[in-house]
Amino acid sequence: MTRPAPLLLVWLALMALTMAAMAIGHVGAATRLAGWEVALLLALALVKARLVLAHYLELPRISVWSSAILWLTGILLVVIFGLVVVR
Amino acid sequence: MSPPEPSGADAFSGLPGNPMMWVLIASELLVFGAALLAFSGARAFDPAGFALAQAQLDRFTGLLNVMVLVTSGLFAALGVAAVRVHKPGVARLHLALASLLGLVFLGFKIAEYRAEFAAGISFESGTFFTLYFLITGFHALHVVLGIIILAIVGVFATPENVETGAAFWHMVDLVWLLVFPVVYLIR
Repeated sequence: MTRPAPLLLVWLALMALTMAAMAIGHVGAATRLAGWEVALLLALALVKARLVLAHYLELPRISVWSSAILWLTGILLVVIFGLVVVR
Repeated sequence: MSPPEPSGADAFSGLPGNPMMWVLIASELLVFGAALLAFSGARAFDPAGFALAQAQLDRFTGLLNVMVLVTSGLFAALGVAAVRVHKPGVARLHLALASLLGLVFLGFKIAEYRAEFAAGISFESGTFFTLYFLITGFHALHVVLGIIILAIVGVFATPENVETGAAFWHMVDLVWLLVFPVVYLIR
């Protein structure tokens, strides 16, 4: 099954999310990020991971592998967020 | 009649590529996850020191490398799509482009390391840089391994081989999507 058009759309979405991360993460500045900016950055990373798993890797959305990787990634990012905001 | 529910033995069914690759992918994801946790834990103990060290990183290069790997992932996925419709030549071309972008990633990473070494930064310049070099260096090694795997599956371009190589490549891509915000951006 060839799906170049959807794959191209996924790539565009990933690039757009990366540009959004660039803006939220103030790439060109040394300012400290607010808690909501950190949360948004991590949420964007999770969305990108989901796009890669579902479309690049074509893992079935209900598969135990897809769910396990996404859940573990989500838990990891929540813990990282906790470690960042409790400092 | 509905099909039977998959049993434990079917845990790998429906996954693209060789099941053994998925064992490797799972273990690698756990290793990188643990490394990112260690990094974040260490930052919680010394936020000021980490912020100071992190300010010396080249965030633009890190960001550029996100775009490079995301694009290489697209080519790897297109390679899988091509080999499934019996176009191994097109698949090889896409895999070659994915590998080429892998080399571009490594080129940027080496340039970044060179600039850091020139600025007097080394593996021993504090906890931040020890973990930074460990995580990004280990990831770069996976990029090298991924390029080798893509080259091999490009030569033996069967659907299962290409799916297996692409699965590893997407894992490398996925890891960088997590490493970049945690190591380069969050402060």
